[in-house]
Amino acid sequence: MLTSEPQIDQIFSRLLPRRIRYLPVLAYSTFFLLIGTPYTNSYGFAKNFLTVFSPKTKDPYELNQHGVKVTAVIVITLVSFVLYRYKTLALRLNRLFAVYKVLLISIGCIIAFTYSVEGISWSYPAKGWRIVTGFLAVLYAYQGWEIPFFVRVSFSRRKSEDWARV
Amino acid sequence: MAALHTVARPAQLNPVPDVRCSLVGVRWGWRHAMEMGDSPRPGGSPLRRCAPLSGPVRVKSAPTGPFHSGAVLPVPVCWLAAGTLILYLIPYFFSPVHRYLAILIFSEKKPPQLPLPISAPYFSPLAMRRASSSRPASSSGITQHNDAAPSRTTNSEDVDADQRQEPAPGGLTRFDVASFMINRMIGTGIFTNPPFVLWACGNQHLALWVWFTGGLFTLAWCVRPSEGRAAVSLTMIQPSFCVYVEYGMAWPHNGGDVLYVSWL
Repeated sequence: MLTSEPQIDQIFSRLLPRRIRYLPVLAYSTFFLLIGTPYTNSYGFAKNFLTVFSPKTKDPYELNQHGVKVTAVIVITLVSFVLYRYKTLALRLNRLFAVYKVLLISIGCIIAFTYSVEGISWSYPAKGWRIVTGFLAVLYAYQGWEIPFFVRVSFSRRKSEDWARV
Repeated sequence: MAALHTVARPAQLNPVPDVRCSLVGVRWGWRHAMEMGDSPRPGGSPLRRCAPLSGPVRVKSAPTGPFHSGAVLPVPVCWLAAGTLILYLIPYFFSPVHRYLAILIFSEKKPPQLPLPISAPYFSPLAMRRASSSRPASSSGITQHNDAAPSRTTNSEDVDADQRQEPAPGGLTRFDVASFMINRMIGTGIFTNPPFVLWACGNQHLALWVWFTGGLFTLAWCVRPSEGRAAVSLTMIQPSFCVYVEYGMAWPHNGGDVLYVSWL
């Protein structure tokens, strides 16, 4: 039931024009469509894919850049189409990739700790901007870890208030 | 037999190493440097061979095959992109959603009533027929479904009807939801970024510290939305976890990032 007195957020929302209200959503979608990680990942996949089919090409920068772009666009299109049209297949792929990633990281960690060779150390000078760039890459890698936080809080607010404060 | 081309370059013209400084390509440059014989060893740099060039440079053999840089594709890329875009937009312009979204975004008028909610599969006639036969259209239109927060809803009957609606059979299970979250958390970054971070930091110790500091950085920005400074963190590359906890407690509804950005 709605109360007779408007809430504070409703009062402020009435002051905003409607066209500006949907501007953040469009800006957010544009950000993820244009400069998000899917495009870089699809480019990386396309380079791997084309390198497999051209064994004489060692350096991916020798590949045809138009071919790389076309392959990336086709992959993005196919994945989007499958996710949109075939829900059951998309759910199965979702489960499959989740299990695959967890297993891959687990097996990689086990192998790394088992076959780690001590005494190997190397270094070369790195400037400040390189470290900052690496830090940005680390922040990109941590993207997605905020989801369980707000999903857990959104599911049951009462039970998770204390957990959220912790 | 592969022929090697020899190119003479002065030292001043190519001070940049052969490793490409992009998020995608740097690992290839790294791998290329490793394959060329510059293995990491004590006191040595994997980029030493690629350091400022002086004298003749050995360029690798000319690439062959259908995908090398000199190959010409039979169809221009712009034609493929334009055709794909047109194929996607054709059903969009003939759907009632087009008119609805156009009025909703670019006009301040009340949008027309759609026969089904906005979540209905308007682009698939068969699925739309099934949806219309299984669930009739709501009497108040789709405006209630499109609003992000239920506090804006003016008709409480629709809210009650939505709450009474049982989940569809064959819906998402706990394993599906967990898989969604795992796939978002464990993306491609942990598989692709470590070589780049290692190259950027110079040694493995500093790289590990950068990874650890990045985790702390994402945890540390705990600002309450009531203070009005949390919007700054949303515009950054990686918002912090604590801010999302605050948002989730403030607006416990579906939508995630889009909902938070819309309501800020």
